Amino acid sequence: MATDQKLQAEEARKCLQEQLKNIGDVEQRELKNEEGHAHLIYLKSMCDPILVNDNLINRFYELNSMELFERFIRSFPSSLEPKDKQELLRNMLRGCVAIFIRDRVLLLDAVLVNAGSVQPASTENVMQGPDDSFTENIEVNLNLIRHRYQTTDLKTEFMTVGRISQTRLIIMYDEMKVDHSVLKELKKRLSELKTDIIQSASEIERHTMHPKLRLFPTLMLTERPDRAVLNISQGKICVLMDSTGYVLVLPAIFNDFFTAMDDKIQLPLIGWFLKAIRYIALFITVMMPSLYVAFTSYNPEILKMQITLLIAGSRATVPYPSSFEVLFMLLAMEFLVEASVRLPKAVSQSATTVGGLILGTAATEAGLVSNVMVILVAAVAITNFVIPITMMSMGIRVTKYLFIVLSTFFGLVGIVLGIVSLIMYLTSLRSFGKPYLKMFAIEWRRKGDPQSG
Amino acid sequence: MVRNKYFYYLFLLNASINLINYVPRILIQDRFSGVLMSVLIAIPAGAILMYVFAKMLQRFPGEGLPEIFHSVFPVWISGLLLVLYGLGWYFSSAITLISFMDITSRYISPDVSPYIVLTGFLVVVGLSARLDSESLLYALEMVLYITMPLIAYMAWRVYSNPYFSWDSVRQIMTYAWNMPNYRTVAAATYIYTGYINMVVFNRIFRRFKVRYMFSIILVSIVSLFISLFGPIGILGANGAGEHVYPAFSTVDALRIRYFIIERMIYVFFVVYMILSLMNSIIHWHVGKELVLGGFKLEGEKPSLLPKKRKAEWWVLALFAVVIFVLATVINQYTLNDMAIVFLDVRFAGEILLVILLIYAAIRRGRRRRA
Amino acid sequence: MKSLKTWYTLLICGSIMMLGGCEFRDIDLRLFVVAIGIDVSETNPDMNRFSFKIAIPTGDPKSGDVKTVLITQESTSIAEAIREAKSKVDKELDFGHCKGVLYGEAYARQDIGKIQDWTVRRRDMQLLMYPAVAIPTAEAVLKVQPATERIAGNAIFLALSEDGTESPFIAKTYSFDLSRRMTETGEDPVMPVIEATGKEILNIDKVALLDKSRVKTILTRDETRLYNLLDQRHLSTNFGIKIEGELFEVNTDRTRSRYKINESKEGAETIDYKVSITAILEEKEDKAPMTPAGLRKIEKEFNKDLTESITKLLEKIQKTGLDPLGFGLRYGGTHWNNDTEMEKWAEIYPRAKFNVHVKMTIKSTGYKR
Repeated sequence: MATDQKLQAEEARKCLQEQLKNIGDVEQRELKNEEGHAHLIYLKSMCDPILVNDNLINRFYELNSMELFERFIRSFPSSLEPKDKQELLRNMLRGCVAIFIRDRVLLLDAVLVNAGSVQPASTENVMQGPDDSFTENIEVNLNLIRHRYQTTDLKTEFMTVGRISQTRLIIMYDEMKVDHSVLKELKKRLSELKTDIIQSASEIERHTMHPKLRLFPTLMLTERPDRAVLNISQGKICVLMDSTGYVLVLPAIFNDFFTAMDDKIQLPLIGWFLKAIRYIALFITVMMPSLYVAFTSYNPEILKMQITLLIAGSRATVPYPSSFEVLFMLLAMEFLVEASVRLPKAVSQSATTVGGLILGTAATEAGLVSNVMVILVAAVAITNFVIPITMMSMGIRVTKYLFIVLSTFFGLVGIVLGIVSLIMYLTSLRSFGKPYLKMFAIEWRRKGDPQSG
Repeated sequence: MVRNKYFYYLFLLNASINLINYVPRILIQDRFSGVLMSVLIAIPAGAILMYVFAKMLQRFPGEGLPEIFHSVFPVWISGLLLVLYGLGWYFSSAITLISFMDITSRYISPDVSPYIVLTGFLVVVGLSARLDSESLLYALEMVLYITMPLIAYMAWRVYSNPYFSWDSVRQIMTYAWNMPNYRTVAAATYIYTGYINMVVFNRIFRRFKVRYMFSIILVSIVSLFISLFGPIGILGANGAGEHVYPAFSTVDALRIRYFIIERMIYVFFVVYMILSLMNSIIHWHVGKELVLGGFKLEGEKPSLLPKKRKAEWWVLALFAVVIFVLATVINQYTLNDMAIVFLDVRFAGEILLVILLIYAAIRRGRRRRA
Repeated sequence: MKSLKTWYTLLICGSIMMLGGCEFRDIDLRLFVVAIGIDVSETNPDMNRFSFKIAIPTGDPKSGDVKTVLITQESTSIAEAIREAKSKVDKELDFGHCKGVLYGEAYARQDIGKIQDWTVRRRDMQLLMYPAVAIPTAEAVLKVQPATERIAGNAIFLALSEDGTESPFIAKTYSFDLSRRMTETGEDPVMPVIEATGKEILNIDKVALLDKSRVKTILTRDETRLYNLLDQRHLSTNFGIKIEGELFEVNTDRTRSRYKINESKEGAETIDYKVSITAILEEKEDKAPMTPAGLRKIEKEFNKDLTESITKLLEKIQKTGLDPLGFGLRYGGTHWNNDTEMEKWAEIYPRAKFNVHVKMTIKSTGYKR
């Protein structure tokens, strides 16, 4: 019986007033004319006042008929009639106006969209490419993607996660290209998600991936619509999330984290060159400090005689073993990086100057650190920033310390052990069933054959 | 499921690792008494074994040796065979690891105790061997693409060295008309042995098929040529016999003029350490699967998985302890003898394995028809 | 997957447990021996005099001053000498960068086999070392501090390795090559000779021929150049000749020497040498411009002259009974009677005749005609 399911207006209003007792931003409007009266209740902070005034209050007095007014409200696609009190309350908290006409309760969506305009990307900059980044509003983000990917194959599925935050998610994929096993796996993992509050996209990645303790990201976060679109066109899945400017892309393999959008913009040869540069940077940033330790402490005979004597000469005054020297300097560098991220822009400049220039020079002058070491730390820091995706470059920042530890105890042998373990570890990782590190990983995307190994 | 190319990687790994496993030393020992004949026999012999093995294995798509044996033999026979094959295969890695420990303490880290180095090896190998077969193959591919260009470069440098004495090589060539012997043939066929890994990896191959036999033979000829004549050309026809690790001494004679590292031997060391570890990881994995298969714990059956996971630890721990104990008790000479015994037994075992597989294939065929 | 978590943790824990076991010596606590010299002892016939040249790194690479220390030690064996030398210095001696073994002439005339064996056997000694004979003594040569040296102890090896200077008088050889020739039947070792002339100058322009373990002859300057012409490819050197009282000098561009052992007639075996040289005219006293006919004439004169001197050199080497160019090995490599070939060769070599054929082409006269 449909009428039984309808909420009785009086009862609902009482209940609402009970629930919204101590909430200051509740606004109640009593509208009256000859025909009858209507009652509006909404949260001032969540609703668009222009929308409320134009569509509800002005119309009420213009139309002059209860019947017409109700029909007018019902004509909005975003209006609905709540079935119970919970639904009513939930929608009000989301930004709906509750309208009590005669003995009916109607809801009209009047959400105040409080997003800034589309901003240029800040963490993934490119040269000569599109500059938009995702906003914190899911609808705008949807628009940004749809705008760039105009086909009906682009499916969007809505979901909510988080018991309290009730964060809205949109799963987007190209139906023709997506790997359905990955999609199924994703939905399964999202439905198993049991946390109260989800505020950022990286939390989803943390809660859905196994094993929990990982060094390398197996999901990609991006703020660039063009990257999201490119990945969708390659058969990947994007997860949009309300109230965050980042989109999850999955599955993500090792190579994806070394791809910047520039590679597509530049000529192919230059794109390959840039990619090669990034892998060289990866090698240098991970290996250099540990190689220094191995060469100075265990195997000075490996390097050329000239270089050996140079290092020995510059280390002559350093009073502690090379591994401590490396650790001190690297830690100093990490502090600098952390400090300049957190500090306001105006101060961070001078912090870097003070730390980098003055400290470095003074330490070498005082003989606490060798010259070669300062060059090395600078090289390590710079090459670390070459890696385009922040999540990956964080993982690599940590990896380098593991290598230093290994080389402190085993010398060159330890580094080789580390390389082998790292390769084994990375190849054993899976991102939604896809091998994480693999030679010629691009293949499966192009052929669209998930079975080919 | 992986594609056929991984089969060639497994072959390539074993073909390149022969330098560590005493193959050049055994070949060079017989340089004045029939090594060329032995090599000439070994090349077709190894190739035929490999081909027949691959052909037989094609009849068992997606099955490993444990599944095949259990389906045609009584439990105790297949169990015994599997455990023996598993241990034999593991033994190969024991020789690799111990000799590499020895090499490390000779050339790289005399300061670090060899047992600490060995512990490091065992931890990495043991933990990696537990990974699934597919990941291991991906890692193998990665490793080979890193190391193979370097190996090719070093081989080219050996042969283009102005001090390479082609007259010494010619001198050895004139000793070709001597009788071959079993030991040298067995050592030379080690080049091909990589195919044995398929007894476990066949489980994840999609439609395994062996092709390009011609290039496999070509690669094996090239690698035998490198391991035999490289040391002879650099160290001399007489001098090559004087070195414990002829391959290392040969590479030590290479100098890189325009690089921050001057001696090629360190590049060689790093490359071969990676390959040795990779090889041991794969051998342990295969050995472990065979031994577990011998106790009826095979494949990825979900019902057996927890039990298998637990048993796995025990097998790997046993592997590690045995190597550690071996490393403490044996010296350079016994290690060499051990390597020779292993290479001899391995060749016989390989022939037996192929015969068993042919028998299994016939049994299976008959059963299907019946 | 679960094991992966323990991956690094286990490795790290393992290594921390070994903390007590880890033992290393930092680069600044090591002294790098860059060369070893061996001489006979003047006082005790059982002992030898060992010199170790040690490079001392300088803190400031821009200053350009190099410091080396020479430690000499008389001892019965080299292992003993190293132990004793260690007690004279404050840091660990590291032989990883040892790049040269110099045998004093008197010592080299006795027996270098023992030391050479030691250098190959010892783990940290490279097979890429440069062995050389030192005149008058190894110690005297090591004491020389060339003014052009920028990195301690580097000057000798820059010259010997031909990384720096490229002289036609230096017969470059490596330790592994020396070892090979010492064991190979049918090929005898050679070593360059370093002479200390004055305090700051080293002269490397001769080659010493050894039988299996001791120096037999030292060739002269000009013979050394011809020897290198026969032994190496693309030797860049110059040759001079006087035609009708006028001097002509050519610079070689490409050279190539090949030989064949011709035994068509039993008892009258010949070794046929073919030397082809491409050269550029560099110096001439004659003022008139060069004509092609004139060039042909010079070429002819050169051919005659070089043929003569090369034959003379080969005969000189033959007379000593040594075989530095490896004729014997070539003979062995082309004959299948393995048991008797070397005895046969021993008969053939002393009576073999040399047929030298030099073909020089002067391809240009430089910028001037």
